[in-house]
Amino acid sequence: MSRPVSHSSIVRSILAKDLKEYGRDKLWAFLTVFVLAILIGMFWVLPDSVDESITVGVSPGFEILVDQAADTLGVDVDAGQLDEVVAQFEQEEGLAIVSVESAADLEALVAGEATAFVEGSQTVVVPKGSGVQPPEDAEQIGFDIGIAFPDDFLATTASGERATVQVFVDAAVPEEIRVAMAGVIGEFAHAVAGDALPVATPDPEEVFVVLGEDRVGNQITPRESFRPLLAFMVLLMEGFVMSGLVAKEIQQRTVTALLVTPATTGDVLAAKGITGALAGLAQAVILLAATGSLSVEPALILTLMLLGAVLVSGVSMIAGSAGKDFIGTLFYGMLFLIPLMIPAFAAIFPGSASPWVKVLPSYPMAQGLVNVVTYGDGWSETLPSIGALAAWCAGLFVVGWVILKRKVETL
Amino acid sequence: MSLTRTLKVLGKDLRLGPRSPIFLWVLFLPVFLTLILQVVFGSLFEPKPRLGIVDSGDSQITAAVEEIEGIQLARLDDVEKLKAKLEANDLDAGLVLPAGFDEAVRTGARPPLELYVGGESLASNRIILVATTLELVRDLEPEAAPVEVEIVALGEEGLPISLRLVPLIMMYALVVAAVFLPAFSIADEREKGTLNALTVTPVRLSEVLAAKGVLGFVLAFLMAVFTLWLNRAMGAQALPLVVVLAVAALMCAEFGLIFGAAAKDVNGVFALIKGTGALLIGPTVFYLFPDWPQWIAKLFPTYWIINPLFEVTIEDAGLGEVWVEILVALGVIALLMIPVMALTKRLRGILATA
Repeated sequence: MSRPVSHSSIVRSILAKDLKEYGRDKLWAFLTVFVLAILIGMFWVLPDSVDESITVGVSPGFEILVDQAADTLGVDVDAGQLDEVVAQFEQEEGLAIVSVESAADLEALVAGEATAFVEGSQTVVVPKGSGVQPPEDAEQIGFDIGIAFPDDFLATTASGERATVQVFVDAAVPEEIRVAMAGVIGEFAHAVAGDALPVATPDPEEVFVVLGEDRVGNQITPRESFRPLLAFMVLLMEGFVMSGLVAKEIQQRTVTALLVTPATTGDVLAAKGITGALAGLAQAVILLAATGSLSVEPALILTLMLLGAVLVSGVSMIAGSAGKDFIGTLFYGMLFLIPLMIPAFAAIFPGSASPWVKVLPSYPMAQGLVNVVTYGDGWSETLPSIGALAAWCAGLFVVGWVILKRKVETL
Repeated sequence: MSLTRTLKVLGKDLRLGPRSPIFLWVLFLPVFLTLILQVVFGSLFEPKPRLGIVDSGDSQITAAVEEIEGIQLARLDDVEKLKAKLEANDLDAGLVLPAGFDEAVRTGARPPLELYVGGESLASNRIILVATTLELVRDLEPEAAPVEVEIVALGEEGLPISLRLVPLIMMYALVVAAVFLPAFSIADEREKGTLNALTVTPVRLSEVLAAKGVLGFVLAFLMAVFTLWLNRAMGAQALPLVVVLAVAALMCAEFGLIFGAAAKDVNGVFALIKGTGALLIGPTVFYLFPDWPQWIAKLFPTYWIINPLFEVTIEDAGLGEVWVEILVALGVIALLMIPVMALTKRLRGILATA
């Protein structure tokens, strides 16, 4: 009379029912799209560059300093050497030097009483509230540090006398920058005076050695570092939905009703797991596509995201079976799922994560995503992460499955 | 509306409420957020340059770096470890100081300088650490520097990140206690049918909702005080603090009643929080980024409770300085009463036909 129904068609039917139920809640569906749009918008609002320089105002301009030195020292001045020292100072990596006409202007700028606009090599200082219009196309520059050299600084220092330099700093400028500025000025003065360093350096041009790939000018931007966090947040949100679905089936005992049909506990659990993973993965893929993250190694990124979705789905099953009601499920969900976000948070910080972060199940996904999207890693470099993530997925999915199965069977 | 009946419902919620995990959230979240945001994320907003030193000879340089507050110093005992940390971007720069380094500089022997920087370190951190190192090496020389540097500090020091994070942490404490608690409680009772059961007793729905609102208000007030104490930001005056906290807790409790009465179940409350949570917390981000256009924050209704709280607790302002904001907040509270009443009426209708 009845023909046998395959497990796959049962799973498909439950899956279709769950997805229909998911889509029927208009408010939930709207807010899912809304939150996804917010996360995508947030990504594009984040800065896509890193300001690596400390902007420093200098008065008077270096041309004036060199001219003054030539006038004072006359024929004895080695203008070529001074020019070189000054050029070296101006091009110092990490410093953006802006010339300002007078020390008074510099002081007003650092005190926030005036604004500087740079147009080509010209700096125009406009006192606040003066009503003076800045030049068109001029770029507004803000700086917290100003170095006021005395007009005869080069001449005095080159002739071996001691000069005094004033450094105006905003009160908020931290101590380490103040100390560093004193160091920069000191080295400049030593160079002008012709003093060699009291130490031997491996390279006459550079006092330090760079280890690893030099990323100055090509740093990881906040936009790039937030990418894994945003992707994981989408998965996490769907994890809550998944645990909610599971909890609802348990509370309303619809799961026991399903079990009097040809569906087995395994079919129900497989369908739930797939629903959670699919919902999370679909949104994560939309987010990654909308943030331009699938341009390199799309298959590899999708593999990582799929495993991440399965991982969250497994944890959600545990949370869903632990809570007595939705609030309880939410509480347990947060308890289990929030720690999974830590590796994605850790990716925002420079440097490698702490050992305890590395043992969290979501670490291989977050780190894998960073390495692929930001550092251009391929399959071979990411395989260990994929392996670790797959192992975690399998483990947590099995644990989630067993806990939920026992819960269902005791209903 | 009867005060006695409202108090009875409140008493019941107080007795049974702590069984709900949401109560645990209310108590646990301020501590958790203070720890996470202040300890972990404080350093994200104001990162310090990180210098590793392998010092084999008790150098004066290491002692001097230790005294510079803004440099994060890591002492290591192995050059290979130092290099590995630099390559992993765990340090910005690394300095190797062999035994006798200081003496060699002092006697003019020009010892080799072993200074490394990590490839991923920012150019600004490099110049800070390299210039500081050279300055400290120069300090070892017997001759005076050819220049005297006079530092002139101008203006007032800005607020440290630990204080700029306080509005965010405090707002979360308020939202969890005054918004989550009443909203989830109403939706939960509605879902379980107890709200319907209450309507066949003399208790009116408005009294039940008022009791939920009062519970949220009281807990939010207490948790906000606890959060401020935890973050050492209680302000200088008690009266303005009590007034602004009461206004803030009241507005948040209204949001809680709106969410609870609008959602058909706890799933709906969660969805509403998921969708609108950013609007409640939004203004707090502007304290973290003072360079952003601050007028945008004023578009959020919660700005009018967050800013007076910030002014009173962090800037030690009195009521005279924040009365305009408090008036606007009271205006918002009065306006929010319209949806509260409309949704209560709607809910009464739904329960009557259920």
